[in-house]
Amino acid sequence: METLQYTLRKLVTGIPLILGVTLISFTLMVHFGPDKTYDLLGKNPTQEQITEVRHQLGYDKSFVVRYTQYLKELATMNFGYSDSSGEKVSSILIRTMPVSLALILPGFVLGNLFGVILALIAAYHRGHWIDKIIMGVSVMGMSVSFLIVIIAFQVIFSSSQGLDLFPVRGWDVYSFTDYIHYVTVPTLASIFVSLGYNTRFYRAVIVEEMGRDHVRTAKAFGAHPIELLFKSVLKNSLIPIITRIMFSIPLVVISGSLLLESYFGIPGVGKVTYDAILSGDQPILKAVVGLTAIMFVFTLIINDILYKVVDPRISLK
Amino acid sequence: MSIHMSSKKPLLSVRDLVVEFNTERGLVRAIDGISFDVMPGETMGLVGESGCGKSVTSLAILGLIPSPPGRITAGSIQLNGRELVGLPESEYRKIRGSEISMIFQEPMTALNPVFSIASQMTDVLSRHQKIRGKQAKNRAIEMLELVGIPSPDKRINEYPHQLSGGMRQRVMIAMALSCNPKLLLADEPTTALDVTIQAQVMEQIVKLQHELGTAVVLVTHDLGVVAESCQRALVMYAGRIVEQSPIIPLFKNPQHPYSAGLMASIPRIRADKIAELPTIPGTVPDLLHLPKGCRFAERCQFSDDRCHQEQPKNQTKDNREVACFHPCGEAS
Ligand SMILES: Nc1ncnc2c1ncn2[C@@H]1O[C@H](COP(=O)(O)OP(=O)(O)O)[C@@H](O)[C@H]1O
Ligand SMILES: [Mg+2]
Repeated sequence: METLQYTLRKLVTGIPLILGVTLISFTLMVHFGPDKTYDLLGKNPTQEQITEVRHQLGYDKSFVVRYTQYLKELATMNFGYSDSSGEKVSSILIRTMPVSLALILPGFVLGNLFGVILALIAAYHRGHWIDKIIMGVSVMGMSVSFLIVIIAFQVIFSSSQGLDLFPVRGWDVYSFTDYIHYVTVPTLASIFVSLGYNTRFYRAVIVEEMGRDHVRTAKAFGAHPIELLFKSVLKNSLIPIITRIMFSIPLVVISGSLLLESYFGIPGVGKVTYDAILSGDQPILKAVVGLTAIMFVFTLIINDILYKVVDPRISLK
Repeated sequence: MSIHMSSKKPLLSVRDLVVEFNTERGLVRAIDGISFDVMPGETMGLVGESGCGKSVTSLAILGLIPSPPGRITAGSIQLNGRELVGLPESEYRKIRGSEISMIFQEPMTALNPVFSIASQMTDVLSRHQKIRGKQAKNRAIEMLELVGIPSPDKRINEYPHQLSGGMRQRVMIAMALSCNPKLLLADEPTTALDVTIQAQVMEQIVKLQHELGTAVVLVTHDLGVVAESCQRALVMYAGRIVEQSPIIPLFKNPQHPYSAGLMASIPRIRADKIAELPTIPGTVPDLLHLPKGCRFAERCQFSDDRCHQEQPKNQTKDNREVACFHPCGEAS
């Protein structure tokens, strides 16, 4: 009940945040963005033609009116039609977003899960050779670029020189088996790339927590090291862990899906966005940027709610 | 060897204990060959300036010297005749919180902030007493009541941050005594509390100590507290015990010049007004650069050449032990 109230209050405070974030992205993208007037006109247009087209595009309206218009589009999820394909923007998103989610989610979840597990193992054996091996490999993993990992994994898993087990590109998914077939290599690549960073970060968090007074108290009362790790330490470490996971979501969704989708030829939002940037397809860009802003604000809100669930000290006020 | 009034067997017996820490600056011998006994049911004070090794001594008894960097390099600690130094961790864990308990200085941070008092207390009970659920919770509520927490059945469901410092320390005491330990190590249990609360919490410890017959090692730098609650006290200086004595003679007639200095620096009602409370001049020697002779010689008004050259051995007289060539300032 308390948590529900808290959630509602957080949602209300999220509204100004959404307004702020969308205002900034609108200003940057739409106001200073490409001017489509001359793309739509022939050579040597007359002044009337120019005014006409600018009117059609809504460029002659004031900033406030255009921003309000944008908010309305966001609220109704009605962004008009793609400039390049003429397809309705909302149906493009409905078609591609699930693909992107299905592509990113396993790698993201497993990358963090394995990160926490390896971090717990390393922290438990702190200073030991097990710790040193885990941390050493993490640093190595961190220093390889995403692109190289993608290409290397494609060669290893999907080429005739390698294991040749999975397709190099594409997304022909009609069943769960298809899904596994297409998602495995991108997932392995994103786990590989994120695991080093995650493990290092989580280990630092856990080791810091292990040095706290209350852990010493638990030890002085006879707690087993495993109990110390999973009861005294883990829940206390969840705040920084949650923060990292939540704050990496926007980045992973944007950059992760952009790279993965273009290199694996997967028709997700990332690919659509990438194409829209190249062709200056404003309706799509407006939708993607606006939704990203909203997603960011929602992550912040969920982040705060999770804090509350984990830490009783976070007050309801 | 320590001397005791009765021929009873000691509960805890520490002999020639040495604890060393590997630091960046070098090997630090934080505890250098201390020996003492704690008798069943007695309250023994452990006093000395900060950094003299009081906490390390209590942690060593519980086998909790952080390692690395620390290590017990010599000596023995026996509980009821059972050797604790070198005891396997699995065996030691059974002792911690059940036979020997510890209360820490900082009640603010010593409890886990994200678990309720109930959860933390019942964990200890189910670990050592094999009681669970409702039964464990009831026992925990009983303990909270015993340490004077009002409406314990409600407070038990709260989190540490919802309690005041004094209440938290009471929770620590309740938790520490919940499995009927034979020995309670209280490491400056009231130092972090408000003065008015300090007295109440100390009173609580003394009362329970009497009721339950638990032996207490009370670590403190507050000699007033020692005078009120202990039967005997050890005075530590730079990793060594310089004097151990029953409480009344220690206060009336301190033997070691360092003890005398400590006694003189207690604020009290005096017949003649004095301008300033006497303090011991100088500072504690650096454990990395210890003098060859007596560690207190630098600061001692009675020190002579011998004090600077030779380490004084323990001398025993009338139930008292002192490591000094000039006890009470007398010439040797
Ligand atoms: N974790 C540690 N690492 C290195 N040295 C330590 C550590 N803990 C204690 N020491 C050393 O032991 C000495 C005594 O510390 P302590 O027992 O905490 O003093 P106190 O009498 O104030 O409780 C310190 O001065 C320090 O040199
Ligand atoms: Mg201390």
